[in-house]
Amino acid sequence: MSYIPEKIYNKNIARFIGVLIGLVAWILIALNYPQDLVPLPHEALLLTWQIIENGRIWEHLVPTVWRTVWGFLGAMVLGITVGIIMGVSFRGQNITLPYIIIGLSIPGVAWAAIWTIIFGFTHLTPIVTVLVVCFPYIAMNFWKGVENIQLDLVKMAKTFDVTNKNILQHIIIPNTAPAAFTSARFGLSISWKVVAVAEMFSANYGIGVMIIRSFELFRYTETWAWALIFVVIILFIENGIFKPLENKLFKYREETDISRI
Amino acid sequence: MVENLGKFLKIRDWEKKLLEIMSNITNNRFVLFVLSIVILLLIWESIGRVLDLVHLISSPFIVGQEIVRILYSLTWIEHLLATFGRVTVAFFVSIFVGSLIGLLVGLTDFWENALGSYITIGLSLPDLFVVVVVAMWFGVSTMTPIIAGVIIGFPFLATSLHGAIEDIEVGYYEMAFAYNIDKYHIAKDIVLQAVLPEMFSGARYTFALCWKIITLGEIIAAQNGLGHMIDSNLRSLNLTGVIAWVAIFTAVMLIIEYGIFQQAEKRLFNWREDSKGVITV
Amino acid sequence: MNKNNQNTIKNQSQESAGIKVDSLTKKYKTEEGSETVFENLSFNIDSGDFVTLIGRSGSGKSTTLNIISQILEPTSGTVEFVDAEGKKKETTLGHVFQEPHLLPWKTARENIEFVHKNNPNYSDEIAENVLDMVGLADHYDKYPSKLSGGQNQRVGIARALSVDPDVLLMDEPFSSLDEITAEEMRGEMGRLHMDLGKTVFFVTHDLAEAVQLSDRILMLGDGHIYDDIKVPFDRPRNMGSDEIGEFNAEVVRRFNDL
Repeated sequence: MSYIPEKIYNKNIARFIGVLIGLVAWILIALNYPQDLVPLPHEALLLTWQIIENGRIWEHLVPTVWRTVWGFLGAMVLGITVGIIMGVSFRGQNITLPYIIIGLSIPGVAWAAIWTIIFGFTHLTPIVTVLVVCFPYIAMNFWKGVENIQLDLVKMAKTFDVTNKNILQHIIIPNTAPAAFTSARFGLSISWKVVAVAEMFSANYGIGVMIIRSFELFRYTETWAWALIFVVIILFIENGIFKPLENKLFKYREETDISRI
Repeated sequence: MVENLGKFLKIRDWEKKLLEIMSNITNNRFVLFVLSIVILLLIWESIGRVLDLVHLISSPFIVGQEIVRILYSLTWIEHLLATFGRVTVAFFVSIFVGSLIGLLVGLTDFWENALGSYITIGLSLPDLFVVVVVAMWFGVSTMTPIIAGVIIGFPFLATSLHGAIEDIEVGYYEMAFAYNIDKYHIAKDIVLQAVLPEMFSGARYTFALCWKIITLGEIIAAQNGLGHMIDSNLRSLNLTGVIAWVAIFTAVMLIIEYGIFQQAEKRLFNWREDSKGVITV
Repeated sequence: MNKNNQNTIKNQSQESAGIKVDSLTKKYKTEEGSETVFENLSFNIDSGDFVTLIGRSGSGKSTTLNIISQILEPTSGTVEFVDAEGKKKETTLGHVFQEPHLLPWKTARENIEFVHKNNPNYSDEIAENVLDMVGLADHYDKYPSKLSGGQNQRVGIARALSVDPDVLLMDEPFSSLDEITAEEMRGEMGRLHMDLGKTVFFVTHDLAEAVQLSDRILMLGDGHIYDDIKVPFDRPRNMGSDEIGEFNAEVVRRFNDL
């Protein structure tokens, strides 16, 4: 019998057991707590399906996505700019460092509170919150990316009289591509989480709003339903879009630990 | 650059000297850092005064006064202790659970496959989701923020540990086998020591993370602490209050992170040849 | 032979062991079936000899050494350690790696202590003695990150010596060093062998190195040992002399004669 299939066989068994443990845990917990508190898996799913079916999902999903996208884009612009400044100039590093530290240490919810008071119940609040919370991570990522551009390659190209345009296109851009990708991926996943928190205070429509409102009204099954939609979308984006993309684009690279940024 | 400038403007010697001094000062790390903050505060203050927006965006001066008032009134002690008490508990529990799972996943293929997806999911769980779910369960109590902090915190530590174990150079094991070192010493002198630096960074990150989650948890489900103060100030639309409290807590947080953690890190790991800068999240 | 040398180096006994390798075979399982590294290797090494196994990259010389060192299991065949009469002997092995694999969180001294965890007779003196022997007397308490590549490799050698081995196993120990340091180290290795008289099983791909250091050269290629040359010169060897130059050329010719 060949060596390889044995390994795949074991791997899938392990995965199956993992999923089994999760399901059993959920059912056990649900059985021991009042129905309303923790619905059984199928109940939550039923409600989720209802929400999708009758179209309520769209009036909340759309604003949330909108805010996420704008906040994320703003964070990317600011983050890339700051990141490049930090990578290129020593002074730049020291000047922008306070902003990064402030951005990194203050909790997202604190920012949400601050911007809510300033901007009130508008789209601006969640967007600015997302921007402020995300841009430090993107800046840091880009800082690393810029620092890693192999200057030797650039020098080499210059000795061969390669045009600046070509240097940009064939050396600088491919070199920063991984950093750009990681920033985008990390930034997007943070954006998505922060937007829910920001919507908590300040909006009438949005997934974050629905989660907190249904919670305050003790309609827990509904909370679960909205939360499930939210989580599923994240998982889909993370594992369904970004992971395969990353694997395809960067097959030659080793995995870098995000927690080590 | 100074020479070029000098030549270009045909500046006399002492003026050149002055430029050099300015250049040196602005190259000094600390000075730039402080200068940057000061300028930010000045801009804030001026926008407020000039555009008459102080009621809307507050001002550093007013916030400063509020901070002093809060510190004097000693109310901050109760809330500080509450929040950081919870953070400490969540932190240690996260470390414990995270290490356990990290070890399991790092050392055996079986658990890596079984629990791997949970850790990935755990890493991407939105904060609001976790806090609300825990709040449904434990209601308004000190447990909610703590448990929420643990749930979100431990996957990061598990991932750090997992990564650290995988990174251990195979050569160390080879050497240990060649010299018949027993498993206990391999675990204690190789594995443990090798993962410690990364674990430490992971722990620092987890600490900061716990703090953020717990603050959120306190807004939704607690009677005291930073989150609670933010919430009450928010309800009365008191921006100055919100900023003042956030500033106080952030200051404490930064002291803990950069004062305690980083110092300990430097001391414990002086065998490393690379010196980690101030910013390693 | 060196065995008659009455030098007393502290903590180093004059004991050494011979190696009997019989029908050693190593095969790996792959997707297509199995890959043979080598088959039915047999050779004997006399106690106190400095024997080099030479071969191209991928020929299996490191594998052979690792099997003798008991890090790897052979597919079949045996390795036995014997005394001067050919009887089985309990042997301590000292393994020197290509990269020293020093634990970076331990000082030179502590790295040596590490391999003595099960030794109740260990004392600091042992570490200090072997470090003196390799010329690192002022570096007992330095961390590997503060030592050069050559110095780190010396600590690796000291570590191997510290267990008072009957056989020293060295796997291309100088190939990751720059040429100047490597030259120095070869000289020291030769001197150490003269002083201590231990059996050395040395693996390298560098022919000149083999001629400089060994009593005997085994050539490994194509899965078997195809040549066995005795090096008849006294030590210390003058590598610039005509005699050795000719011998060198002969070795190269026979090496390429696979």
